Amino acid sequence: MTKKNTLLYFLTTLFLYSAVAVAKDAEFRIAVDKGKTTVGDAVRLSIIFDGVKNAPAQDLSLPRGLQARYLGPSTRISVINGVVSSSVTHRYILIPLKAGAFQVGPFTANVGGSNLHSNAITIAVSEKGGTGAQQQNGSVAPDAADPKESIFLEIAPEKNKLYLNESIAVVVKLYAAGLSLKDIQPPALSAEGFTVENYEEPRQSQEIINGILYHTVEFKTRIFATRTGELKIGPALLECSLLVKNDQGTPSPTFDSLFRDDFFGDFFGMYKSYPLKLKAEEVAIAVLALPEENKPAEFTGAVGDFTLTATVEPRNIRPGDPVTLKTRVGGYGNIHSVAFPKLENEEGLKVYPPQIKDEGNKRNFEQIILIQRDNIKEIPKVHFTFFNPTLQKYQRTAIGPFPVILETSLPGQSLQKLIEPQDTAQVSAGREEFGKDITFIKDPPGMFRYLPGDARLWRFLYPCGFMFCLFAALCAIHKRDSKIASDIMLARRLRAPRQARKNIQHIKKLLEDKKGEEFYNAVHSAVREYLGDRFHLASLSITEDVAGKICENAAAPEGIRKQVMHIFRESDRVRYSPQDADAETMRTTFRNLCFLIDYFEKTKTTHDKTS
Amino acid sequence: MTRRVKASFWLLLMAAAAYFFYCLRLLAVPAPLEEKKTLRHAGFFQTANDLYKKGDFEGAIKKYQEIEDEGAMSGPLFYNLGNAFFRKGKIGWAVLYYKKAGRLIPRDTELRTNLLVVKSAISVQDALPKNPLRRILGSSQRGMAVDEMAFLCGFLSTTSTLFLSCGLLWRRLRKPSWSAAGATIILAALFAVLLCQRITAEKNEAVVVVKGTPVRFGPHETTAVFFEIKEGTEVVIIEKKDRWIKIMRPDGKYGWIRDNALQKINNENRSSV
Repeated sequence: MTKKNTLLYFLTTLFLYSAVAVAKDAEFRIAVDKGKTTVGDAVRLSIIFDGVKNAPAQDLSLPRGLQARYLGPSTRISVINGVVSSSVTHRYILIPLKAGAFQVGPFTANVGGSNLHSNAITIAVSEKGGTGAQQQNGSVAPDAADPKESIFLEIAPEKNKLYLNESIAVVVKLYAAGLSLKDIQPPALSAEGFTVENYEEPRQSQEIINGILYHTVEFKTRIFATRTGELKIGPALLECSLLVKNDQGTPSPTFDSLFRDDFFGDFFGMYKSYPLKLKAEEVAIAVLALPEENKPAEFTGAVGDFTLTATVEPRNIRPGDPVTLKTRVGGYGNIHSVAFPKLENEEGLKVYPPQIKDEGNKRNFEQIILIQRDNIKEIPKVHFTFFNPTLQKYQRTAIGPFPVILETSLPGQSLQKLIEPQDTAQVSAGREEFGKDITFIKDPPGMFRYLPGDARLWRFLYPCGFMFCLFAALCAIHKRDSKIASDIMLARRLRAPRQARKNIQHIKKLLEDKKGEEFYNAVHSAVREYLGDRFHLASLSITEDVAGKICENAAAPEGIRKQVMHIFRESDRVRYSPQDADAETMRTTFRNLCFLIDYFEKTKTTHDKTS
Repeated sequence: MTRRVKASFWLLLMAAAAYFFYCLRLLAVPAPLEEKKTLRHAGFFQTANDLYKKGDFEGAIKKYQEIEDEGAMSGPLFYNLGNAFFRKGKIGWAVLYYKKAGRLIPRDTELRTNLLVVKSAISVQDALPKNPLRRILGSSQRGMAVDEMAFLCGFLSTTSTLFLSCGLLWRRLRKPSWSAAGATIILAALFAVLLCQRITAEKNEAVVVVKGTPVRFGPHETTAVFFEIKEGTEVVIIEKKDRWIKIMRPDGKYGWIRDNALQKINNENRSSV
């Protein structure tokens, strides 16, 4: 038999054995790692399918007060004495949320077309910190009175009967007794037919219910109904993590008391966190329609108890000048349902759509009004109508009128006309139905931008680099000037070449004019001045001998020393007998002078090193 | 103080003034080269608004997106697009465009109201950051556009150079000037950090635009469904693999989702992720 045939035979046998095994030994059972536990302490549940190679995870229907989290599957295949067996295990974590006896199972699973039934297990859960005896034997009667769960979520609306558009507070409250929680997320509240605002900052407190101390986290929001009828708020789903002590480690008895402390426990990983999903039951709310009786025509849907304030500025105006009407509606109620208050009479006025700005539970409107007639003496009353749900009646509030002083226009001056986009005045609030709809579209297109965010950003930041360069230059200049002001030696050293350049220009001019005596006088004083500044000496004290010594001290070459001395000698000679100055000698002296200054500027002398 | 130092200081002062005017102009007026385009796009915008008012939301969307496709962005444009999508019943797209608009006109009351209405229609709430400091910084960040933050950052750093210069040049003013410079430098640094963080974070923000999208454990159709994500939920993109995207939900849950179910919020283009 070839190797290939052997392998084929082996695989066929394996397949047949396993097929037989599935058909014959398929079994479904459940097991837990412990039968007794306390509230909040996790129990591991294994759902085992023996004799099958593939079985799906099960949707567990568990009694109330017991939560399950799926951990994952594992498959085991073993061959013992030629008998192949396989099993699939799905692992879950069960977290008891209240004390009692919980029966888990029996479950039914469909595997390979046949229904398998599992066994049932009872888990006894006692209260945390309960009596030793109770914990030891876990003797909690299954039919004991149903205790409140150790952790639960509740929805509490401010009232259960409200009017359309009426804003009420809804609190979603998390209760937890003796359990450690973290990563508490804001609950997802289903509220069909309502508009739900964002939650306020969550508030923590404590509450005693049936003698049990609960720690509570309160998520408060406001909702308002957008349609009438029997509606429901909820369910609310909240996700958090439950911290459970990890009992698998065997800590040293010496340090046990120390490291069992919560802080160290968390730090050293003695706690495990399990994700928990809590659900609050829905709450029925009756939403009433606003009464049609005595409903004012100008009512736009505002529901609440509001006050109105308004100001007009400026009061002294000329015809055509704009005035600003600032109106504020504040109070208790649904601020989103507040449309802008109307002027009682708009005759002779051009009223522009308002700018709306919300500040907490106050809505501010800013409107530009143009006075188009000379006989207008006041801006008329502003009025606002709303439905007060407490008094259950419509109310109208008004403010004004606002007297204005219209200064007479100058001769030949007519009323100003402002250019306005077509239909701007018509497109305003009031078309939309608040609460049911979104606010109307915007008519002005705003400022179009053509660069993506990042590129736009750098246009603001690049010039800052230039500003910093300027600042650095300013610092450098300031530092240099301060040093020069305090260090006379440096100041003279820096002045030397500048002054020498100036002197050379002057000497060159004298050379061109062939003014021999003046030329040599200038050369003499230029050399003395330069050497004096350069080596920080009194200029007048520099003679031929001193200059020679300077060259020696500065370790200048012999040629340079000779040139210096030659310049001094030539200068002295011509200064005392001016007729000796011929053009060629003057040029040579000038060249020597330039060379000398150039040498001392380019070469770092011992004097520089010392200073 | 020498003449040169005085001149440098005046130059710095003039440069600072020029910078402020330049920034204000950038914030408020379009560049001259863009004016022609702006006029054309304003025309398109008006046409789209007319279509919207007539109830032709599909036509309005097309017209608005024509402007967007030409690289133009404006708060009202995205806001109106959001409204049009909401009217069409495409909640995810509506949230996406409101979010885009929020980056340009973050303090707009109407925009906030509409976003609230749309989000409550799909029962999606913003998750609160765990860290209280992040909560405070987040709310201050949300109230400002990126441009405004960049301007503020530049303004503060420029002001700090002026204060430093004053302290350097006038000994009498040294103490108050340097205190003020220290404060402005700290503020500028804080804004710079916030700006960098925001730019980095915003690059990976996206919105789910397909109803009831399954989020899986792995980047494959056969992997188990972890949870179902609502249309209009904001997510953060973590990783990309072929046609699959690893996302993080606001509550910190991770999972893989098909790329066609997401749209990035960045205002740069309109392609799917």
